[in-house]
Amino acid sequence: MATTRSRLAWSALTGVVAMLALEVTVRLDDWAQFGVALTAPAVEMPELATRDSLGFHARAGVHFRQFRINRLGFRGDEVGPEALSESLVFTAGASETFGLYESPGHEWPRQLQDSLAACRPAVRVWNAAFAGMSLPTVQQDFERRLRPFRPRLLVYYPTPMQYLTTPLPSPAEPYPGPLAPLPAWRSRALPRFRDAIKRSVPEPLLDVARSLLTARNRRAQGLVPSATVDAGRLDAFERDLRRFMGTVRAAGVTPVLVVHANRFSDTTSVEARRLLSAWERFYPEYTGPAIVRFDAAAAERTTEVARDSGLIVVDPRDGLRQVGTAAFSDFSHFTDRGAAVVAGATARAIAPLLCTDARTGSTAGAPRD
Amino acid sequence: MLFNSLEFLFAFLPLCYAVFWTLPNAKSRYVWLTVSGYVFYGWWDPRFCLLMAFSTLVSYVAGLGMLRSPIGSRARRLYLVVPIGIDLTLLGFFKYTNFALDTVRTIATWSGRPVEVPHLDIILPIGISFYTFHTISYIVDAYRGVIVPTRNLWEFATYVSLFSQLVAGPIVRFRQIEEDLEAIGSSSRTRWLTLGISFFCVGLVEKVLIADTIAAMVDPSFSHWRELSTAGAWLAVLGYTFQLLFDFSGYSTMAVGLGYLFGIRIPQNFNSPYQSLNPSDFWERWHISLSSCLRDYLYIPLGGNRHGTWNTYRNLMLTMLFGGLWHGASWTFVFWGFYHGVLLCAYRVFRAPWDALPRVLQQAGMFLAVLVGWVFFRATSFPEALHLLRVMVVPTDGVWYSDLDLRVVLAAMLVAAWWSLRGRNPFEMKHDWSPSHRLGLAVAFGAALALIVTARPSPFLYFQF
Repeated sequence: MATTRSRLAWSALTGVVAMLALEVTVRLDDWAQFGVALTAPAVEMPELATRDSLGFHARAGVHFRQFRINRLGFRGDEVGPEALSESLVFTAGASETFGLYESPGHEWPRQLQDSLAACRPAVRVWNAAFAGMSLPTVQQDFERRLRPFRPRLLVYYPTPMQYLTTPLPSPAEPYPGPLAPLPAWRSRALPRFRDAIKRSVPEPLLDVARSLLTARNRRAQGLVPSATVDAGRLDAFERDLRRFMGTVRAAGVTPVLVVHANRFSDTTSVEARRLLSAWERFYPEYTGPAIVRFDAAAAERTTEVARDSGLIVVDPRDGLRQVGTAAFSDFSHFTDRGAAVVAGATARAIAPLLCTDARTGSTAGAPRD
Repeated sequence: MLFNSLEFLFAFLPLCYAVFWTLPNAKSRYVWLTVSGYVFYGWWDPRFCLLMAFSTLVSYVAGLGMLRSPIGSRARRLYLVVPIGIDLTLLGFFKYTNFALDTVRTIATWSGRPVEVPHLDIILPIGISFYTFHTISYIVDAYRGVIVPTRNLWEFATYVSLFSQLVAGPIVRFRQIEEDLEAIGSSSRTRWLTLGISFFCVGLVEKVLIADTIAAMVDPSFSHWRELSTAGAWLAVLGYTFQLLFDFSGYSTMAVGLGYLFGIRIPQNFNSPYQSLNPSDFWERWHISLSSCLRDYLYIPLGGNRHGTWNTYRNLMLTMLFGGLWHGASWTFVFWGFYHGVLLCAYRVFRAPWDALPRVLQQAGMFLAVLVGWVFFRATSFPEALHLLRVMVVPTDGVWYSDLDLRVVLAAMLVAAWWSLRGRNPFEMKHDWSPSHRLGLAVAFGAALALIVTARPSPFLYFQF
């Protein structure tokens, strides 16, 4: 009996020691790879955002793996006061702009900053995007949070598919109360473990799981996926986009539009069907091909809005097509290479507006693709 | 499936282990280990299982044939030549076809008569060099009468497909594990359990904590070899020197541990090779299973050192050239083999003065010589290797690369240097179940697991050979 008890105690102690070693090593690895402090609070992706009196935006001063939000609430490193005297460019949008899968420092706003490094006067690009920010929320963020910084340009990368949900997007309700504190201690190893298990599940099994989940969601909401999208959703997108561009302009800021791109130059390959099925989970009212068609129609509307309003429009789709599927990590989020294409195209378009120093001339904004 | 992957650690291995020890007899255990081996192998590409099954059947049938043919008979020779011919043809086709075609193209271009030679779309089946050597060693040993070929197909299939040593060695000869395979039905689960867990955890530390950490500097450095400074080149080459040892030795140590878990004693493959004092000593310590195979199945049949000095040199060079080619279908590997052949010959010539040097100088000199060889082993072309060697010697401005904080990589390199140059290898360590050892293993496993869940597990370097 005593032997059994002692064996159990030893096993428990061994398990606890292994778990402690796991947790400490994960924290050391975070520090070595991303510079996250060992004692920094463990946060997960949703906690990188906050809802306060200004609305919904990235939470200031948090750091989760490669996602570092500075004290001003923008993705990237801390900036000194001298940055406020430089030409300021805001990039706004949702997860494609915030950056999800790029290696640290390779999301397209950061690469845009690098591309404009030779520009004189100096240009500073601040990434004001956050995953899930809808167009009306971005407008609200601009009005309440970004405008006081008096930027020269605002580059907006829309996510039109947000208009495939019911109800249509509206601004996130500001929350006047105090900011909810982050948990004082939470394991960083366990979420990592969960992600690793998810990654190690074979793709065919994941496909089945995704299809089942989508089907269950549809059943629960009584939805029959539609192969066509009514024009009303496109009109709503266009209306909100025009309103936002007007607001930006009225604030004395030059708006720049970037056309949304997706990975689906074909929708028939095994990989394409797999990703399309993953995309459908977010928009269960529509079939995958309908989502792709909607995105294409929205791209035309984006170009029309820019043309009608005399705005600069950047269309990175040709460049991305040349890179092929290597430009995307999933249905619409970029790899380092894809982000470089978007950054390069944007830099080429806006450099003439920003870089006026004769020393640098036409090479000032020499973008790298 | 990799040993350092979650699916292996938490699904394949526990299931395989639990079922194995509930099976009542040898036959069911052979079948289970064979099925497990094929699942493990098929995880990469199920098509290649057919190739392994074919190779297994051919060698098994040849073994049966030898049982019926007297030693020295013509039929026995046929049972030797045909299966080896088939094995080498398969290996040659999958591994060396494009190498041969590329060489023809290059020679034709050099001679001023360029020819159109296609590059075939051939996928190299993982670990083919290893299991081909397993079957060849079995056939040769059976032919020589060193072993009695088994009549039990499942036993033989278990030997070839044993997942612990299937894809990256060690190259285990049938005779080395025959006793344990024969006794598999009555082996004790607990007899080597401690040893198995301990070896496996030590191997995991070697691979995940040391080799993969160093790889974060080595891989980007070699990708940008033209831009490296002198310090960057030294870092990259030194890093690779340690990475390769701990990667491959880590795999072998895990293989030994896994073998113990299933009651099979797999022999030592690395015996602190960077502590060797001369080339001959190095090859008795590095990838022992390969070097002993080359010695027994190539060097000695060629005549070994029995027919005079020049023939000995010739045999050494041929053996090492073949050893180089075995590692990969590239002239840089052949040159690496040539280089080690020259080292072995030179040692035979200068043995007396070399051995008279202080021990520390011998070890340092040998380490440096091995390090230079690894430049050719790792480089993808001669210009790359020569450039790196030049930058290492001639002070050059440039950069260094690391995907991880360099301090972390340097810490891993320091541990690797101490362990490989001064420390004990896993076979010299004490593997007991004392509280300190047990808690040490828990820390090692937890830390290794943390890095496994942090990134996708990186494949073992020797998978490509």
